[in-house]
Amino acid sequence: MYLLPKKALKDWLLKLASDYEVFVPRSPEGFGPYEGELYLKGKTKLSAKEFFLPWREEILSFEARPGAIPSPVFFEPERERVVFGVRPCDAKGVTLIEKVFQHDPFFQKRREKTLLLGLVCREPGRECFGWAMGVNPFAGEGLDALFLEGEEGYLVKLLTERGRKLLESGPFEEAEETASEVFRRAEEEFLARHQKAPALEKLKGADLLKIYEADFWEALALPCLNCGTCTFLCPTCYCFDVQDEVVGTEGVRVRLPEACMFEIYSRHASGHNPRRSPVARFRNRFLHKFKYFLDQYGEPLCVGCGRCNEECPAGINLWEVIRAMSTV
Amino acid sequence: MVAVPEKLDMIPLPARIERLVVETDDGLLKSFYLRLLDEEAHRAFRHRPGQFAMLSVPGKGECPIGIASSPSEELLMFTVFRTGLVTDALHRLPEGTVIGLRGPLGNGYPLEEFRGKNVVLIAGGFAVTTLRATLVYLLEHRDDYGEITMIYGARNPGLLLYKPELEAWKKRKDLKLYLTIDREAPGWDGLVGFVPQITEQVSPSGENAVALVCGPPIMIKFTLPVLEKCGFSPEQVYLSLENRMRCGLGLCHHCNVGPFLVCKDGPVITLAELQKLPPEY
Repeated sequence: MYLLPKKALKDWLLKLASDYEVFVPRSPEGFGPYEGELYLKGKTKLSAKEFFLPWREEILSFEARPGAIPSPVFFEPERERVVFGVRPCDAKGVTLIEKVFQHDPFFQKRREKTLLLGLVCREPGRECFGWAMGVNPFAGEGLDALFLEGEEGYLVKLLTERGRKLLESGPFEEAEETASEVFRRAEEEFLARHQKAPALEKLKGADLLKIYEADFWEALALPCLNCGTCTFLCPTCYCFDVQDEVVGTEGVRVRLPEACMFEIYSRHASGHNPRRSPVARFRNRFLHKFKYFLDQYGEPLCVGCGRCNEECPAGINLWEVIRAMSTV
Repeated sequence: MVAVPEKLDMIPLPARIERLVVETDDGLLKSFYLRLLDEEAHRAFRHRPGQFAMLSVPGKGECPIGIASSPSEELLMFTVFRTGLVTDALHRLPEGTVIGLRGPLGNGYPLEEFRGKNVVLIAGGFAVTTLRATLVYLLEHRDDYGEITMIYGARNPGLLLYKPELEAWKKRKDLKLYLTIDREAPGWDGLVGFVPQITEQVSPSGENAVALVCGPPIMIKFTLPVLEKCGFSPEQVYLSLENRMRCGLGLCHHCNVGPFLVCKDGPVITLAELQKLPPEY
């Protein structure tokens, strides 16, 4: 356990930037390269998902003519990346995505080249419910080190060997023995007040077709605009599209985030669409998160960050859906 | 220079169109006979009937197409229906053009498990492609299987695929082949009637047998009750699903039918498994 004096944080980040590409939450909107700005009051609108499933991942480049032989494109950051200020729920989200992408070279290369330094939230945000999804913010899953803001400075818990190496270079003091006690007490107090939602256990044992055929879906999905905001902001949604982009005579094949809320998502070339109705697409998203993924991996595909509830233009609340699903 | 990992599953291999065959009178179905440019990769390409591959044209994209050739055949063959952006682009290409190929993908039929059993293949329209691969395989391993029956229907004679082969198969004593068209047509002296009706007439026994059914949804809908009447349990009936796909590797999630990913868990699925899934196909 280390201690970083509060005043030393910015200098340390600047110093790190000479060896690493350093990213931080720069504003309530999201992350960017560290240039002095730092927003640590609460979670950002965009999570750290974009470091692993970026908005554009080029996988192929080619001359745009029939018969051309494409060349593979593979992104590899020149320097290792350090992302500071990642919320524990968002880091947990990366570990959930990793369950599916463990053999995907593009995801794995980014994972291998990126260190995640987490920051425990002092207070849960208005719409947060990570604990209900089984996320313990003090466990730091997916992180290399976890920072806890105290009165004197940040207490830093090392979680991986990579994290240890990184922090060895910093202006850290060995924290007094009482420090780990502070950490432990904070965790205990948190866990005493916050429990996993019983709904998850009920959903695990529930009959899929019964939930699928339940009559509440239509009413719950009615306000949904199928805009996809929830999917793009979600730190665990991982669906992607593949597109060929051509400008002039040059083209690239890219992977980019996609929303299961869109009609084209499941539309066949023939026009047939197995999820033609907005209700079917709404239902599929929630079944994926709270039934398919839960059954396969034992955890829901949700970390309770609450971004979907905060940003949904139609005011849809995830808890209404979970409640309905778990009472079938 | 960035070291590209050896195994990039999303990167297509270049394949040359060695031969093109327009299969149907309407010109909408064309068979592509492909050879991978890398000789070693071509030799090493191993698939099982029922699997598919992604075909791609740079600038247009990729699409999943069932592999219509048997593993023993020299060239990889795909019969492509001209219907969307990529298949339209494919249809415009002359012989000799290099396209992209990524695969084999999916599970395919468990043909080893079918050994010693009677096999009934039921195909409607151009969904016959992977059953063609299956039939060729079964005939190559003829002694391993019991009776082999194929029922194959198209709207009219001009829409039947693989005509020269059909003629050769008709003559075989070790294959019961029933070809049918929807309505009477000049010059056609074979069976007339929809696939479910013909299946009912043929009435294959479900005893020690499996049925592999590929066709349009309406054909499948009416064929399944006939098979049930013949004594086929849902575990003995194999279907092949298709859904919109992007990666073909179980990552992008487009093709899910409930928790079942058509690209990775399928496309082949038993009726028993399918009955447990939401009807999203």
